[in-house]
Amino acid sequence: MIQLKHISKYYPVGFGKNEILKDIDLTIFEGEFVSIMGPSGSGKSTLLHILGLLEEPSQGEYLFEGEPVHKMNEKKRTQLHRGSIGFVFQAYHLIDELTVYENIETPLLYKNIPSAERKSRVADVLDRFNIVAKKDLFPNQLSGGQQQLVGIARAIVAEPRVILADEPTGNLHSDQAKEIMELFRQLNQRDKITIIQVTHSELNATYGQRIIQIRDGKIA
Amino acid sequence: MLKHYFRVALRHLRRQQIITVINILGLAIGMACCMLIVLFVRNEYGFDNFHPNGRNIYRVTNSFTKAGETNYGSNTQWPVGPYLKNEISDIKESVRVMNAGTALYTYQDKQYVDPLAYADAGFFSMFNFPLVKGNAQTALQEPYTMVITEKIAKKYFGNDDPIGKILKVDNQFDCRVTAVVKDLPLNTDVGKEILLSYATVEQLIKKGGGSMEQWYNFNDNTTYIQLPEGVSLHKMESQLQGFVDRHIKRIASSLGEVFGLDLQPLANIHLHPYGDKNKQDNTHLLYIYIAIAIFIILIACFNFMNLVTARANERAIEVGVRKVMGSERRQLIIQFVSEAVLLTSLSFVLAIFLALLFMPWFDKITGKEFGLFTLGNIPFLGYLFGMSVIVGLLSGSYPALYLSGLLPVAVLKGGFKTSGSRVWIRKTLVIAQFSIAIILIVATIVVYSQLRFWQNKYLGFDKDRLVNVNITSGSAEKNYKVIKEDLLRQPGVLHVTVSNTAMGRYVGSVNPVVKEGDSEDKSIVTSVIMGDFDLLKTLDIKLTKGRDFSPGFSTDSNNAFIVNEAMVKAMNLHDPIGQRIKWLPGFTERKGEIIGVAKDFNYSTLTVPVSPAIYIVRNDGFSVMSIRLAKGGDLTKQVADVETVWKKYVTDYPFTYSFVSDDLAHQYVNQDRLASLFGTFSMLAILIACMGLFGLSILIARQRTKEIGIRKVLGASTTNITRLLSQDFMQLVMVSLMIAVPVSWYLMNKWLQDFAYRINVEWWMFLTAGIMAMIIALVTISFQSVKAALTNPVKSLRTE
Repeated sequence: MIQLKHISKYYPVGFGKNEILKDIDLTIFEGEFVSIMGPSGSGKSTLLHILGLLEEPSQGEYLFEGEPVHKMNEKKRTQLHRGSIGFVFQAYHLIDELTVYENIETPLLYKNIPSAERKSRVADVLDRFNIVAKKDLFPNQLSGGQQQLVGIARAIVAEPRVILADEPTGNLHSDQAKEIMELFRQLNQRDKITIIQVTHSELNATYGQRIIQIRDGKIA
Repeated sequence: MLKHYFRVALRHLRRQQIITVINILGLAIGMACCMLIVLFVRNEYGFDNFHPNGRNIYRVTNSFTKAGETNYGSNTQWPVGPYLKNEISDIKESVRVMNAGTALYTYQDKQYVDPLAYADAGFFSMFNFPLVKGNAQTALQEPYTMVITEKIAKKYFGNDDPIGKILKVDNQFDCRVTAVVKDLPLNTDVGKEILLSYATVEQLIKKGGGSMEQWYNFNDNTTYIQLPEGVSLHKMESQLQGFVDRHIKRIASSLGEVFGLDLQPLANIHLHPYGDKNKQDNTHLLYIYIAIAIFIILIACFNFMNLVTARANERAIEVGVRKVMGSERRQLIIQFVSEAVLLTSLSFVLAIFLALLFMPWFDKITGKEFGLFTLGNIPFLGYLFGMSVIVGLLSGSYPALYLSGLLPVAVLKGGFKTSGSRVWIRKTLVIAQFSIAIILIVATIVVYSQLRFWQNKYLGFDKDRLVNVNITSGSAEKNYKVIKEDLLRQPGVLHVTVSNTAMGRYVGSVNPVVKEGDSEDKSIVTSVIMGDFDLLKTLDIKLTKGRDFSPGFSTDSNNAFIVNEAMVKAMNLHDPIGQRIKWLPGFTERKGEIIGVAKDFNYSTLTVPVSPAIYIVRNDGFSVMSIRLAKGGDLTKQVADVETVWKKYVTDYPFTYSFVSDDLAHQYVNQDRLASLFGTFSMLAILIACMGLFGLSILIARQRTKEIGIRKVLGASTTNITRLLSQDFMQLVMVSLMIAVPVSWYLMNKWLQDFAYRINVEWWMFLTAGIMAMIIALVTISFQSVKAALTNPVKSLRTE
């Protein structure tokens, strides 16, 4: 489903360059649950951003479902964001001015889904995540775990085929983290969503089927 | 989707209450100023724009060229109108309108003093003033007929039918009301409350043994002509030249003058009251007003831009998340712009309330009666709303482009920092705001100083406690000698004189004067003051050479002149006393000796220089009695005493008087208005700019909470922190000052150029403006800086 060929990423620094990723080759198959691990500054977040089309590689090819991403225009990328890729962030990044319900609904607005269907889909997700009672609260009225739950709900409501999660449990204590990871596993197994997560935690990494170690910009 | 945007926008507005209030209030004040100014400017530009024939109506204006200098004016001689129509076939219609000051109108036992004007019979077919009663074609045909407005009809006759009523005018003749015209709109110069038929003038002149055929005698008489569609003005020009050659050229050249006639489109009259070529061009003032309006709204827009972009880091996450969820940049732009439009719409509603609130004040300084919600204003309000949407688009576009361009990666990593170029733009906007505000403050100081200068400048005569009473009407002129004697017996009255010149308003006549022996084409256009022997004494005009008139010299009442210094200069007289000059008022001439030279004095506004003037003694032809009251003593009582004496002798006309100082102050109505507007709007500009500064200081202190906490932990004092937070802003204000000084210096000098007597733009004016701006800005900022500096660092660091 995802294929990276000779991907490099570097930034110019002075007269030289700072290489973050060096010649990465990586294939991720449909339905996989992959954990990317590595020390701070090893380039794992950059890799995730490239996978999520938020950053462009300096060199190399990226095929998403066989299509070359580096040749896509802005519109096509936006389409992928709308339909195929869901994001979960360490800091949740919910929109403070929107209620739980509205936060989850927002991706559907961008997909131009009719009102009635939006309602039923948001209701389904709320129901499934057991947060119906919280739907009219604002993010700052929720605990971290609850916020992340909403974050995941928002990521899956548009029914993406892949979820990219950047240290999704980094700000949570272990009980909450476990709950979130269970949820990921469930999404992967029951809903067949491909999941790629960046994590520091060995424990969390075990939820996935494959671990990719990155060190100094290279897959170890 | 739009609903979604508005919901988010409203919640943002509610969450950032102070910022929202600053934005809405700032924009509302700006828009309210704009509304009032636009109302005024629109009215000024729209004078007499409601006549269906308007495009083809022209006013005939004049020009006099003498010794290479050309003067332009708008008055035309009596015969010009009818002769033009008879002789030039392209002219469809000509109508004369003559203003004749005020008159006393008597109906039964009631007396009213109101303006008097005469118009030719074609007036109501040329211009669009609908009649409520009467026939437009015939209303002004016969002598001794008149047309009045509904307002006047109501005032004079109450609810009685005015048609056919007889009014006595100035106790001289009876006049019959033949029609009632609908009340005049605000935007007309042509329309008059009371119009008598021009045939009346003809009868009156004929009765007095005079002739209307005076080709070089000027009254306050205006000639309008109507041309058929599509006549070339170029062709008209040569026809007018031929007309002047036939009738006027000979008389003019005998006085060494070249006379010319010109046409001025009706639409230009109001802003060019003395013809298109005359120096007085009121459009300049309108440009200044428009500039003020734009400046104020700009300051408010800049606030909005700055406050939105300064909060970019708070909105950045939202932008990043939305993009990641598949929002296109276009959609984000729409979202942010619609937020701005929502905000400006709220401001618009508030602005209407503010405009209504300040309408009475505005009416007072403009001397007009505007209404915002009048019928004619409905499309206008639409325009205004359109304007507010444009303001929203303008002020929303920069933040929208900026915010929507944020890259999600940079934002979502959490390391979002306002980039250098953004800070630079923010600083530029603040500098622009304060530069404008300081320029407005300097302008206010200069305009007020100039007005003060005018008010305090010694005019060459003593303007205080000098009262003018009109003596042209009723029995005053006949009895002036007895009245004068009786008045002089009053303890509060020092001197009394009669003359043809009302200081502060007008000088009696302007005629050519020439050195005896020189040919008439060397004559000088001279203001001629005719008075009795007490004129210089009463007005307190000083002589620099020679002596005052005295009844002891038998020649003084016939063959003597006193000239002013400007006259000496104009005639190039080295030893003026004893020189002989000749006065040519047209119908006769008078020769005599110069017996004295008076110091120059300004009888009217100080915007123009002193013109050459002579003073002669006469026995009649007076129009004004000037009374010098004693300094000290109860002014009200002094005036009451004068009135008591007056009423003993003059029973047929009400006692109307004016203080010369008031009449003089009235000359500066335009400048006064400008000063009031500058004063108010510069205050508002500073207020809005400071509101923005306040908002910015809140946002920046908030963003630097952590830094402040760390600095405090490291030992920074409250003063250190306050200075740290204030100095950036103060530097901006300093830069603004440096920009504002040369700009305002240039602009104000340019403004002052128009006036003959003017102040210099001085350094203290900039200093005052600068210090004012600095202090106000400092107070605004330190409010927030001190608060931030006093915050307990433990608290601010823990929240991170």
